Amino acid sequence: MNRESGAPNQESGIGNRGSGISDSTSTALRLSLAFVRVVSVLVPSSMRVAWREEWHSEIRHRWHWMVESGALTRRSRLDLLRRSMGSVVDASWLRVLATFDLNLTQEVRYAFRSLRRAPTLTIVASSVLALGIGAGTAVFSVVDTLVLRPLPYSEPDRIVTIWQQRTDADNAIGDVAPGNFLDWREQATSFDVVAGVEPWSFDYLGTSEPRSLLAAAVTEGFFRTVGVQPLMGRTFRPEEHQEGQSNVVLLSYGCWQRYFGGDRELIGRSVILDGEPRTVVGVLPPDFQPRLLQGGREREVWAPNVIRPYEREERGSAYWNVVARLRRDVSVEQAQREMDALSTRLAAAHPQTNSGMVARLVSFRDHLIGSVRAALLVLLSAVGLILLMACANVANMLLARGAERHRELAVRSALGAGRSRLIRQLFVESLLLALLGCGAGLALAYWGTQALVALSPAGIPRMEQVGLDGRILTFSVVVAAATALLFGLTPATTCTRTDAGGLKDAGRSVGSGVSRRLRSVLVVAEVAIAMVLLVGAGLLLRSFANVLREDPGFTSSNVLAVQVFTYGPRYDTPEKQAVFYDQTLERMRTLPGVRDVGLVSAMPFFDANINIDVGFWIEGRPKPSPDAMPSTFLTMVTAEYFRVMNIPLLGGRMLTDRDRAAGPAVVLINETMASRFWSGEDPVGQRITVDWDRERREAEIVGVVGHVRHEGPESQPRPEVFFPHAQLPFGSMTFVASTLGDPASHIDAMKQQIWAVDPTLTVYDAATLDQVTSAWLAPRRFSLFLLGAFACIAFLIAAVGVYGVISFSTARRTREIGVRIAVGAQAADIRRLVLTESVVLAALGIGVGLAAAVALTRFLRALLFDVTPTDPLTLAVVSVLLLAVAVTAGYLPARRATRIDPLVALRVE
Amino acid sequence: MKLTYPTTLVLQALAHRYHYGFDIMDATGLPSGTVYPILRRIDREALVSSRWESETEAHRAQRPLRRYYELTAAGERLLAESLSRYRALHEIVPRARRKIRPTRRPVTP
Repeated sequence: MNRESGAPNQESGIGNRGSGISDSTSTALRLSLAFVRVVSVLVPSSMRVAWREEWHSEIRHRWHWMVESGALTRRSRLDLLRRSMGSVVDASWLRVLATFDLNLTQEVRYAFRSLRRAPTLTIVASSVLALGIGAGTAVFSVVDTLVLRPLPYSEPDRIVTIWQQRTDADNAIGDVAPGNFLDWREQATSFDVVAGVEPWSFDYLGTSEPRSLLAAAVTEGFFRTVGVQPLMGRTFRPEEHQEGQSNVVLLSYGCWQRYFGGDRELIGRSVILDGEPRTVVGVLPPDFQPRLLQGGREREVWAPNVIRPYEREERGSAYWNVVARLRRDVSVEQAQREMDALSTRLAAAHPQTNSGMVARLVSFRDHLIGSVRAALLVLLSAVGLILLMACANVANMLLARGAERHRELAVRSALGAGRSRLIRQLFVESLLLALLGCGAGLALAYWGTQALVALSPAGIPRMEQVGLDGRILTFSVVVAAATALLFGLTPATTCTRTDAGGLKDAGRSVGSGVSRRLRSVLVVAEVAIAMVLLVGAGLLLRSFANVLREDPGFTSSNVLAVQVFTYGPRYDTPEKQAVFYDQTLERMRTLPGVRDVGLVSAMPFFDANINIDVGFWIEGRPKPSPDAMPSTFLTMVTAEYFRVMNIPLLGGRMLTDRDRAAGPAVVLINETMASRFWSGEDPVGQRITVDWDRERREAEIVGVVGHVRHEGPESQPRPEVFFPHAQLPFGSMTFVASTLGDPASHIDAMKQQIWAVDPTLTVYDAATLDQVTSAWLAPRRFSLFLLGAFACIAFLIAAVGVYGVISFSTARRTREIGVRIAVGAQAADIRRLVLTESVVLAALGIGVGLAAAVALTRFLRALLFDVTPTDPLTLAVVSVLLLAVAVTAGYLPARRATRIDPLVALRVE
Repeated sequence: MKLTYPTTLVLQALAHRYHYGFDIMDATGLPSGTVYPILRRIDREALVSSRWESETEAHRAQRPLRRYYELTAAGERLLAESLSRYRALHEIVPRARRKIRPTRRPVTP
């Protein structure tokens, strides 16, 4: 629109003249004209009249044509209106063109130069932005996938898991006994379906080595309960849960891929599992990972569960998981109330097993991500805080820089640069800075997301689906860019306000009082945020140290364990089992590099930790009634187990070769059992009777050994009684060996010895103890690592913030300090002057941060171990640390201030 | 300059003697919010020249004055280059022509 000559300058006279059209009746025409008239205010004034005239004439002409050609339909009227609406775009376009004359090359070149002149600001500001954007996007992407995105199950909010909770002991939530499951299923009315899952495994010989496939045996309606459709094939039919018809299986997607090469023809065919043909009726979808049964290792095979008669009465051994689908009209709370009442009834009916036990409902979502949810939400808040800090810091730096450039802008203004020109200049500069930061942030977000997935502990469902989240990336980029633009433009507003006056006092009054106060507030906020994050990281660090300090009761270095289960026709008597273990032990002992090999049934820290909870009584004391019977955990061992694991003998004697099947029955007990039942007495020589496997077993206590934390380093030791494996052979055993050198290198040799004795026996689990210990610590290490990383970032940003403000404010006071030195102030006085400012800011930030930390860290409680959220030591250390940073950040400018030459300083004006 | 597909369409319409904003919309099928900004842009780039038609002309045709756009030599060159890129253009304009007849070229004042 550069050529406006010849534009009609009358509002509408020309347009109407001679048209001969009466438009008095046309609403569409009048509306269109009026709309264009209103919109024309957007058009720059120099071309407004011509613009409006062009649109009006086109609209009138179209109307004219419509009347003439008889096309005055409802549709054509609407079309005309719609066309008039387009004038908004046209007008805005002209406005934008006029505002930013798009010839920006000069500005861009100048902006590059000016950013290069201040490399510190450019690098720090863009990397701070990048950190904020990158960290935020990476963590949010993970949280979104794991926590916020709907679960891949139909109506997941109606799915609950039900657990047994011991209200008489530690309130621990645990697996369910089959008898209780059956009672719940029959009596509870809150659910559409209640389904049980039993841990199972199948031996599969179709691969290079005998393999134990992890399996789950599910009761009728399980797949309806979780609402999952198979990827291919079908789920189980009701009749397949009957004895004799249950030889069907579903495969997990991973199992189907790994062992059957994703063969689509497999459906309907048989595979040999446990030596018997079973028909594969379907394959489950890849995202079906319900994390049921012991630690959430992927269950590879799903089979129908046939309930055996004895399970109906089995209430002592809890090893099932239970899921249920709530009826549509029932809430979790209502269902919990029903289950509470049901638990009371069951406790009355079966006091020995069910007193002090309640059924606890846990929503499926909490079950799936409960363990990481707290950590992730803490992280998400941390990330929000980091983004906030990044923006505050960039704002701060830009404000400071703007103030420094006051003089430059005033000069340019005085030389004739218009306000719009200056704004454009600053806009381009800020945009460039934002682009740098966002670009680096993008890269960081990409790598960060990948790193998070790689570093995360195993077994979190859907972790492998985590990818960069576009929405949050956009959000962070917009927030960061907006901050840069907003605060980058502030100097323009202040400088254009001062006009030529700005030039006069440009040397002295750098920055208005408002922006100075704003910068101080920003720094206080930064210190406070850093305080919160550091306190959080400090608490996690202390928890981690506390966990590490917990003595698991055994030494894990140079120990490996190999777990096998010997059942089925080849091992149908205890003698056959004993022969296998004896022969294998014999072979393993001869392996080079293996120092000692033993056997244990309940292997600490292992997934399949065989927990046998038995009632017992002590000879010579009154026999308790069945419901008051004390209980202990029953473990079968050989004496070498204690040597290998370095578990100390505290009293009495160790098991020996003489404690064999024919000899008198002996047991060891652990110190927890000794102190709980024989406090002050010596249990050695006492006799106890345990009730297990439908038999009473009487034995003499010959020794006391140290206790072990079975369920990870954070668990409590439990009472335990050890029977010699020779006297009480058992099928679920773990070989434990201490080795010379790296134990991992001996795992294969150990397996070969097992297969030398029984070529088709599968190995259930094999790992070094250092590996399993590390796996137990992984989630804690993960959250510590992440929050620690964020705390470090926050710490750096806060340090940069304090330094920026103090060094700037010192520069601003050059003249004042010069005068002070001229009238006799000492270097120490000047240092104190500058440092005080820095310390005051930090102290304010620490104060606010303390309050915030106390308020916020209680959300960390779930992640803490042996430390309170308001741990005074952590709070004190972090406060001192931040104060030290403030002093250090203030020291450099303070030292610079003491070197101010009064003569130079006074000449600054 | 960067020649987008809609821009090429507008140039093509101009080459086919659609000289007014609304006529170009009819010919190309593009909405007004697209056509006008394109016209502004190619006007700045001197690919078209624009002027108000003479009063006599409007009077004779018994209609309001309209703003008249015409391809410059530079515009014609650019269009010729881009036509090879967008084959479909050859089909669109003749089809659109069936809908509305182009107005007569006005007498230059």
